[in-house]
Order: sequence, then C-alpha cells, then structure tokens
Amino acid sequence: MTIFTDYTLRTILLGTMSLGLFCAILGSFAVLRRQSLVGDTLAHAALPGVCLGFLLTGSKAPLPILIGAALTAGLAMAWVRWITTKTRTDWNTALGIALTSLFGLGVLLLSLIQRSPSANQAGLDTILFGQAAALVQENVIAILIVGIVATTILVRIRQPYQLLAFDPDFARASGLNTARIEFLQTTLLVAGIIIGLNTVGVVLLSALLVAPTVAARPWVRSTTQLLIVAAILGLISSAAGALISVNTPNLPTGPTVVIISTLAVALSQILYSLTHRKKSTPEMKTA
Amino acid sequence: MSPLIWIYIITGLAGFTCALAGAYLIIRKSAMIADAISHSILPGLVAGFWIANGPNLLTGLIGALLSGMLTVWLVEFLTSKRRIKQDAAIGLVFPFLFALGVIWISLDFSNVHLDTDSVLFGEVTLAPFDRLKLGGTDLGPQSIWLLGFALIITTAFLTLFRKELKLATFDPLLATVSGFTPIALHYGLMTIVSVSTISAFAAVGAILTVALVIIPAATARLLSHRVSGVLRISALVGLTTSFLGTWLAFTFDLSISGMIATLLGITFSATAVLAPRNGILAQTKLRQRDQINQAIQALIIHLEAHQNTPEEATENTISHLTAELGWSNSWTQTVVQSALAKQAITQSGQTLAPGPNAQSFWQN
Repeated sequence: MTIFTDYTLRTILLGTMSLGLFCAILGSFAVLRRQSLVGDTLAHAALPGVCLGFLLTGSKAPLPILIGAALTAGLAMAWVRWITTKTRTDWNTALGIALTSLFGLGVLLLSLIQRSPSANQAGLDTILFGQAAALVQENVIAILIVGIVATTILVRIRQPYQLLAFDPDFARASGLNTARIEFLQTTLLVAGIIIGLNTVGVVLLSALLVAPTVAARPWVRSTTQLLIVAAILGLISSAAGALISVNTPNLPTGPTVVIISTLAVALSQILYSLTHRKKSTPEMKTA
Repeated sequence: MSPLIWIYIITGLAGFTCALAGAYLIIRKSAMIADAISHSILPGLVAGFWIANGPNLLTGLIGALLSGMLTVWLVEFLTSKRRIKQDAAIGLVFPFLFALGVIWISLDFSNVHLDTDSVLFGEVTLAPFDRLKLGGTDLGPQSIWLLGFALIITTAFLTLFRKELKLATFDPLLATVSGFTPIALHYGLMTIVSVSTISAFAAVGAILTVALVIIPAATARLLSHRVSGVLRISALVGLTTSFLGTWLAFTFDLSISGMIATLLGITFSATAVLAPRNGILAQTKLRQRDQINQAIQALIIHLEAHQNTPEEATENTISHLTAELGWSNSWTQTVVQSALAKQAITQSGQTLAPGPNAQSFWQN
C-alpha cells in the first residue's frame, strides 16, 4: 500500500479525512436548525475576502487570505441577519442576496487582480473547486488544529446550542444569550469553511457540511449520537472518496468525496425505508 | 452593430428576463432553488456536449433544461417524505449534480474547451461573437435569440396563468379545491426559472444569473405589496442595474458580471434603508412620530385634569412635567415643542393649557 509511504498520497488522504470529520461535526447543528444553506452562503462569501487578502498583501501567503475569507464570510452572516430582522425578506432570499452579491464582489476583485501587472495570482481561483492534490503537510496540521479547537468549543456549548436548535422561543424566554450562540455558530461554520476551501472549494463545501448529518439523522435518538454518527460517516465517506480518486487517473478528489457523501445519504434513506416501514423519523430528545 | 452595443443589449435582456422569472420565486420564498438550478445544469450541459460530440446549442440546452428539472424533482422527492427538510435537500442535490459535472469533464473532456470557471463567471464580452448561423446567414449573437426566447416564454406563462399563479401562491388549498394542482404550476414556474437561467448563464455566468433572479425581485418586494407591482419593479431593477453595471465595468475595466452582482447587492441594501414606506429610515421615523403622539396624548390628559383647578399654576408647568410624567428634560422639550407646533397645547408664561387642536388630536 503506497498510501502509507507516499508523502503526497498520505497528505491527501489525511487532509481529506480530517476535513470530512470536522465539517460533519460543524455542520450538524446548522442542519438541525434548518439552516443547511448557510454553509454554502458563507463559502461563496469567502471569495472577496480571499481576493482582498491577496490584494492587500500582494502575496499568496495563507494567513492573510484566510483571515480575509473569515471576515467577509462573517460579514455575509451579519448582513443576512440584518436583512431578516430589519426587512420583511425571508431567510432563504436573504441568503441568496448575500451569496450572489458577495460572490459577485469576489469576481469583481479577481478581475482587478488579473489586470495588475504583478500577476502572480495564478491558482487563486483554485479555491473555487479546491485542489486536494496540492495539499501539503502544513495544510493538514492547520485543518487538525482548527478542527479540534472548533469541535471542543462546539462540545462545550452543546447544551444551550441544542436548546436553541429545538426550541428557540423557550431558549429566548429562559434568558439565554441567543445572539452570542448565533455568533459562535457562525464562527464555527466559518472555521469549517476556511479549512475546506483548499481541498474541496466553495461550490462543493456545503455537501460536506450537510450530507453526514442527513445520513445520520434517521438512526439516532440524541444530539450526542448524531454528532458521533455524523462524524464517523463524514470520516468514512471522505476516506473512500480520497482513496478512489487517488487510484483513478483524472478523478478530482473534492467532487468524488461529494458523490460518495451523497450516496451515503441515499443508502441511509433506502435502508431506513426498508427496515422501518410506515414509520416516521423518531423524535429526538432535547436533553 | 458594434460588439459594445450588443453587450448592453445582452446584459439588459438577461436582467429583464431573469428578474421577471424570479418574481414569483421570491414571493413563494424559494430563492435558493434558483441557486441550486444554476449549479446543477452543469452535468446537463456536459451530457449535451457528449451526445452531440462537441459544442451543440440544441443538445446543450435540452440537457441543461433536463438537469434543471431533475434538480427540482429531486428536491421535491427528498422532501416529500418529510424526513429531509427543504434546505438540506437543496444543500445535498446541487453539490451532487455539480460534482457529477466536474468529474465528467475531468474524465472525458480534460482537453476540450469546456471550462468550469467560465460556467461560474461567464464571459459576456465574448457573447456578441457567438453568432447564430442558419444556412449560411448570420442571424446575430446567439445569446439574443436565447434570451428573447426565454423572455417570450416567461411573459406568456406569467400572462396566461396570472390568476392561477396568484391563487396557487396565496391560497394553495383553494387552488386544489378549484380543480387545478398547485404542483403542476410549481413545475411550470420552475421550468420558466430554468429556461431563463440557462439562456442567461451562457452569457453572464451562473452566479450573476442567480443574482439577477433573486435580488431585483427581493428589492421589488420591499417596495410593493402587489404581485403586478413586484413584477414591474423587479423587471425595471433588473434592467437598469444591468445597464449601469455594464457601463461601470467598461469605465473601470472590470468584470461585467461581478460589477452587476455587486451593484444588485448595493441596490437591495439601499432600498431596504430608504424605501418610502417600509424602509428602515421611514419605519424609524414612523415609530418616533407614534411615540411623540402618545406622549402628547398623555400630556393633554394631564393638562386637562388640572386645568381650572387651584394646582394649575404648579402642576401645568414644563418643569413639573419631568417629575410628573417621568420624562427626561430633553424628551419633555421635544414633546412640548411638537405639541405647541401642532397647536395641541398653548403656553402662557410658564403655564401650559390644552390648545385648540387638543380634542381632534386626541381622537387620532
């Protein structure tokens, strides 16, 4: 098995697997709160930040680019909340507005960058589709650090978080600082997106955040079970996707992982339908 | 005609058509399905390319339309059992189909000009040179024909099913009872959105297309409560923003689709703040006016209670109001000034009394 000896293959596999694991965990509560498309919006809104980071520093150093990405993604979320609270616009439309216009701003900035004579911007647009093959060990370490920190925070704030997910009115009535939890939720999703940009790119990221939770959902009875099962499913589908893609010429890793994750959802749903005839999904305990 | 004018016509037509097709989508609160459709037409395009063994307008269009409808059907199917919510279904379906498209391209067409970048960004500057030729005659840019066709279909659908669309949107139950199925209209509407998206995106790219479908209609919703109003304003916003964005992009030598999408975002936010009736500024003003009016009412009650009593000289003075009604000094000033201006009260020296308009004011 060259996978354990070859540096490139090992890096791709480790990077994709840890990404699948952490994205599954970080996306789980967004899916429960019926905000599955937030991840997609945040990912698209990261593009202008990436361009700004590059424009301001003139280099492709990862740190300013990632900070820029996190900033504009966070800005997008603040904008969405502003739209939904201050106008009669619904949540879906607000997401669509933020997604398309910020991505448009990114395209605008890209055209500005491409015009400049110092054009060493080549590869800046790989964040659109990601390039797992270009992963290096530092990327994997970064994914692990961000993922572990974000997961720890999520596990620590799990109690109020799930109260907000299942009964937002009660959460507000019992004096919970919902604004702070909303902010943390956005931050955690942004963290997941930042680590995913290099590997699967903005268009496909939402699948990694959403699919494992949807696949796990019929089989679990509590959020703890959900987090564990989704994490395992995320890990397995990314590993399978990465293994298949590195062993097939011309098969890109990101899209392959997305296909495998979606197939996992289909399999989970079919198996559930076959084993639980005429029963709806079990209710989840909130405690 | 020069390519420049063609570009204006193409972006304007795209803006007008998409904005019109998007109006009902926004009224029905399913904006993100447009995002899903625009991404998942990729495998359909590739399939069309594959069947015709090269770039072919007809097979590409049919493939794209079919995969657009497949997206809508898959989302409906996944949510029909109520096990998967709509947002999750959308978030699953379009990355899956888009990934299929990307994989197909990299496996079979890695050497062919079928660029995923240009699918997302679009290249409207090249659109005028993509001519439609029939038997050797040059019939003008292909995009014009496509968009014109989409515009005719969209207008026809919106006109023919005007009543049915309204009923199915605002009272689906009555629509079902009246004998036509809202779901058929839903698919009709989705076909319109798909056709407009597909016709526009070849010229202006997937993301701008979605921006043109969602944002003008969302802006129009802030300005009008009527379906006809939303349709008109939406089309107007789509058209003007496209023209203005194209002009700005040429002036500063930047991406046209990026400029239009950015401009649309700015237009929406500006409208949200400045809209004459429902804008944030107008609403704040309205709230302030209500607060002042209520305060004036309280003031009149207080003045009337003590008028012509021995305590009038001490009770009905400005300095006493702060203590009596628990108002701050500046608020008392504001209220008294406003009440005097509206002749709800009168002032003689330090003493206040109900004015000529007090009674009519109280009735408001």
